[in-house]
Amino acid sequence: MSGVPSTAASAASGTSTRNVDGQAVALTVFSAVRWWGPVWLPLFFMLIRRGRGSLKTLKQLSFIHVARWSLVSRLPGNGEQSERRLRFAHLYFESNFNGGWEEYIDAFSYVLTLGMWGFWGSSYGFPHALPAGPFKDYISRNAYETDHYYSAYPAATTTTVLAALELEPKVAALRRQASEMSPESFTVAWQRLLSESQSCL
Amino acid sequence: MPLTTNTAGQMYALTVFAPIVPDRVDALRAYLRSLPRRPSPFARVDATHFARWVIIPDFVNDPSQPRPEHLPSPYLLFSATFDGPLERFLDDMCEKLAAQAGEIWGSCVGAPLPAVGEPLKAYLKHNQIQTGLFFSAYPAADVATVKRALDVRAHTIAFAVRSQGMEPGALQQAFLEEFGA
Repeated sequence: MSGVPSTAASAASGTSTRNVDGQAVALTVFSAVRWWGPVWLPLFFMLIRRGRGSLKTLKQLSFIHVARWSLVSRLPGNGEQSERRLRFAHLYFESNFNGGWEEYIDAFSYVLTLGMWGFWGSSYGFPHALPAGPFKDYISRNAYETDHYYSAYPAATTTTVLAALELEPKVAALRRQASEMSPESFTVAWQRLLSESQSCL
Repeated sequence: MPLTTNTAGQMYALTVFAPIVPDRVDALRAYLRSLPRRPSPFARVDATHFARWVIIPDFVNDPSQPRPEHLPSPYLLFSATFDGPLERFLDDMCEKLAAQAGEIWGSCVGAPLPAVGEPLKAYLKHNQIQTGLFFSAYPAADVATVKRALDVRAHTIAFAVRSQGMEPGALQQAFLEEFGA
């Protein structure tokens, strides 16, 4: 059941090749939560949305494109299957990141140590964020292999996307002005752009 | 776009969890794994940043749980991160992925047959899981903006290398030819 890692492991990511599209890696995790999880998690999510602190930390990790957490407490009725309330609500987590799977989980453990308790502290079997080894085993046990995965820009890392988004308006501004400038002024402006945008290149 | 827990900036996080007809699980898995990866069918749905289909055979039961919890049947998890709003994405997906969507959700319990159009949209929304917390590193950027920015960056790097040592006039001319006036 666990998709991390599999025999068809990608050397670059440390996960199944089915979880990979270019640089992008998919992580899909369900975990059963204790009775207080359905009370705690919505409150925790709300605090994070309002405080933005942990989300800022996630952004600073700079290898997560997008991630989400959801609480599944019931399964809607479909056809002959009637609606069912789960005995244990389940926390759904998915991430779209780049880089190695182990490094990703390590970074979560070391950078978001307290935040990790907020996310998974109510889940059965959560071994705490540190040491990282048992937490990696825990995520691995609860992860599922993707059957089809898509990234619209598979060659790009999160850092590359952020750099490109910062650079593009500067190049566009120079492009708008370039034909009106003298060659010497343009050269100065081009050198300034390269100098000020070094971190984006 | 209204601000909900499913949104970050202009991005929307859709998660759909639908039961699979038990005797269709193997065929569905084989079908999903046979879909081309380059290009994925999702490349036709322009607003899609990331998407996945995952067959969830059952929940993982931790030894510390007082009692086990099992799904009534294997479930199909579908998730997509796209440029909102939801209705426009579902319209586009149901149109451009009509053949694949019919095959995929046609294997799910209670899905309309054929699994297309408005009935399929209603089915997907019926089985949607609301997002509790959604993080995006670049929530304001749509797919077109990201792709354009990546293209400009690649051209800028290549041009910076190629233009080293050029005289001012030649440099300006080459820049205008590379990036347009």
